[in-house]
Amino acid sequence: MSGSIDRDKQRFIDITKDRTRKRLKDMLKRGEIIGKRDGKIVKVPYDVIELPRIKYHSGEGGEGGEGDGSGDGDHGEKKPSDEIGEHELEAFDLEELAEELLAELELPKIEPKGCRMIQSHNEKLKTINRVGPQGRIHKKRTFKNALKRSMASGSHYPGKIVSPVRPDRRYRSFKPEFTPEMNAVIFYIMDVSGSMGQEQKEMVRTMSFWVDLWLSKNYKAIESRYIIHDAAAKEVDRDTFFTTREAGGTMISSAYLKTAEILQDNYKPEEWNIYILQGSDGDNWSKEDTSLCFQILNRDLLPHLNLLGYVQTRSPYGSGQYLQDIIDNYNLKDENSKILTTEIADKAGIFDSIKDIFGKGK
Amino acid sequence: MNVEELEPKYLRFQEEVEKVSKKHGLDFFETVFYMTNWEDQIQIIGYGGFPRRPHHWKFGQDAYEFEQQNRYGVSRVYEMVINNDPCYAYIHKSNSDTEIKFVICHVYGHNDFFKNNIWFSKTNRDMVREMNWHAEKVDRLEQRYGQPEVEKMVEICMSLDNLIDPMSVFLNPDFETIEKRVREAEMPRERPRLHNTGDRYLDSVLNTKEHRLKEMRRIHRENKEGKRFPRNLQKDVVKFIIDNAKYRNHNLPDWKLDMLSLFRDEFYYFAPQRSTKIMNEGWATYWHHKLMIEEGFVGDKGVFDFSKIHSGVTAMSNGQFNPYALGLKMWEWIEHRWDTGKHGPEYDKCDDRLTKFNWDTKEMNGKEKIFHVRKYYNDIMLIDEFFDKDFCDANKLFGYGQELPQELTRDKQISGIKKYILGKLYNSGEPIIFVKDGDFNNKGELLLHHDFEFAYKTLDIKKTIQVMKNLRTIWGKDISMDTKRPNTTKSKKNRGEYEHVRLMVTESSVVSRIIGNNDSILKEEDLDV
Repeated sequence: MSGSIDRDKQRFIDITKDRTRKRLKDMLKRGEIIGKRDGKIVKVPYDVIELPRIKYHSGEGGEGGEGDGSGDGDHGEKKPSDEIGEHELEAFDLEELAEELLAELELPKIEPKGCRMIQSHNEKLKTINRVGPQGRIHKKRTFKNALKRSMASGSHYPGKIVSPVRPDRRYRSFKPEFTPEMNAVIFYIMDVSGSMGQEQKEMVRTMSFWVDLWLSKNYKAIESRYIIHDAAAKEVDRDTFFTTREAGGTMISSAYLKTAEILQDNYKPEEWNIYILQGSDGDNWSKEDTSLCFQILNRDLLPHLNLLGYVQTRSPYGSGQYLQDIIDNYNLKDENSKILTTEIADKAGIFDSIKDIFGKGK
Repeated sequence: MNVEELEPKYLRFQEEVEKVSKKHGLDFFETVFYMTNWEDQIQIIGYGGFPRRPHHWKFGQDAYEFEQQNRYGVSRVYEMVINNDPCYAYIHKSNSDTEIKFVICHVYGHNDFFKNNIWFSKTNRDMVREMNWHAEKVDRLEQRYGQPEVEKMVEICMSLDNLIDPMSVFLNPDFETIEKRVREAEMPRERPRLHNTGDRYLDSVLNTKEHRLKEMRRIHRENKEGKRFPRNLQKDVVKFIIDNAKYRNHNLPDWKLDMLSLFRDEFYYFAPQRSTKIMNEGWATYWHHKLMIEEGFVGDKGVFDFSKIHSGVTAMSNGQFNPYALGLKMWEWIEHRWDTGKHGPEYDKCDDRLTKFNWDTKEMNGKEKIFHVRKYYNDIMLIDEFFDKDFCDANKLFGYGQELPQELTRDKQISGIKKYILGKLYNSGEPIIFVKDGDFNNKGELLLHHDFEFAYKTLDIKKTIQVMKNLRTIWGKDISMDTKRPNTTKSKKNRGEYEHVRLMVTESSVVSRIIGNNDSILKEEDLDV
């Protein structure tokens, strides 16, 4: 009878997951879940399921007082409060969540660019195997085994001839070594200038979270680099990226330069799938800087990239000019265009934006 | 589960405790303690104290929630004890020395209460095995009819757990069944009782026209009343369904009713625990305190630990009702009153507070009294009899909050507090539902009746409808329920605060009808549930 409750618990978790799944899209939209990430596990609030019982209408104390009876009358409907237990948490696997996202957005699978080394056989005979061709027999091991067997059976005495039988034989063999099939690196670039409000940053971060999730679903190994910029760019770690507040001017070119620098030093373009996700309110310092941006893009970045996703958040301060500049300079309608742009008005729009960027399977 | 027995030093401790508590007059079943690990603890808590119960995700939910909330040891369940002979109790392995000792003493309090309290006298004392058998039976049904089907049925059964009549085990009422009705119908019909005269003249004098008419009316009336099925309101709805559903729903497989009766046994087993919660917990708390401190089982080193545990158990947290604390205070109060003779007409007559406070006749009957109360009382009787002004004063109880009266005079306030507590205890705080008519509309439908006047509280319509839907799957015909709700009609005719509604669950729809006098339908509306 051991673990009898485990079955019930599993059943309950299954039921809850089913129920939660239905509400998942709403929760994803509201970005509720992001803060609750804990390693590979995401915690999601779930509704406590109550078995129906005939019971008193809650929230009505004792006897109805004088003025109580003439209420609006539609009782039984005005109590959504006990439906969702906000403080209850349930663990969803991150991958599972990505699966949900995939199902929800109907994104195509990403086609990695170029062909990579897939699996390399190490040339050296590294391990020992029980079967193999006679030419690779490992004599020492074989005799050692034979001796062991003979001694264990008790019939051995010093000087007795040890004769290996078939189960004693050992062969040298290859040990196949796997290297990651495809590597991917993603650069998150965020504009943290003064014109980006807290809400705009939040949108970019939410977006980054989902993009991260989606890409890690598609690549076995993925590296993330985080770059924030105002008038100057710097690389930061993940936590800083998700929490920082800064202010200042905006020079997008600085971020591009920084990216190109990191790219050159660390990632060979033929071995890596390279993504850039850039979030900004589209308010660049000057026309000159914008043209500098395009220069860097054309020279250092675009030839190596899989994709540059440009996310423009609508901001009360920004002009949004940068998006227009991109549209003017690049032919985005082209099938092979490596730049995809999207504009987010509010949090609910995040989903459509993800679809905009990854909808083409790049 | 791989349970372990107590360590030898605790077995010796257990023997000591038994010896001393017997000296105090406790009388208990043999007690077996098991040490559990964390996983087993979760399982036992999920199953409400039992090692095994029929599978259902509801138990899984309880276990899961417990697991989530207590992963970091924020709050703990020290002990689980089962009303059974022998009495089984579980102690968590990680408990400290003092905690284990505390649990052992506490369990003997419960054990004594289970054995001696009269409300427990009809419970099954072999419930662990019984429950195991239930689980086995449900498992077999599952293999035969499939998990989804059985799970649905378990859910239906569990949603009916308050539709029983805990008092019926003491009254042994004659539950009405259709079978009995059929047998009765075959008996000869009653004829008018006329005077046997044998004379035409006398006949016309004694058996007058009026007399004959009266007799006819009487028979007519009795027949009419006799046709009502059941004749009286039956509170045990579950029993009524078990007895009669097979005549109403010909497609109902037998195993579903079998299962319902298994679960009915469980409901009756748990019912007294609900109706004696305050007493039971208070009694165990009283005794663990007595044994540990007065008898010195706590040891010199454990005093601090014990005080911490004890104050935790009896802590009054904000907005929550702690049966341990109230129970303990009640027992101490009763003992104190009978020790000092603070009872009887003379004491009641006394008006002077100081005299009352210092009242002491050296009666020393306290112990006898609490054992008497332990045997014959339940929570309602306890509160009703012993919860008085002096108790409130001694424990500084006062009314506060929306549900409690904000009266200015102390007396009124106390009666308000008392009324509030009693209101939660009557029928264990559950609504009272009767079977009113098992042949409603002459179509074999079921009419339930919610006794609104009992508590003046309206039902949660949504949940009620769900339960009625569940009932419908068993009964096979439409289910109706009479209840009341706050008045919605603004018409002058119907000025009362509440209006009478009849909820009807049919195959395809849910209708609520507002019923006027003489069963006339005033308004009908579809409910969207």
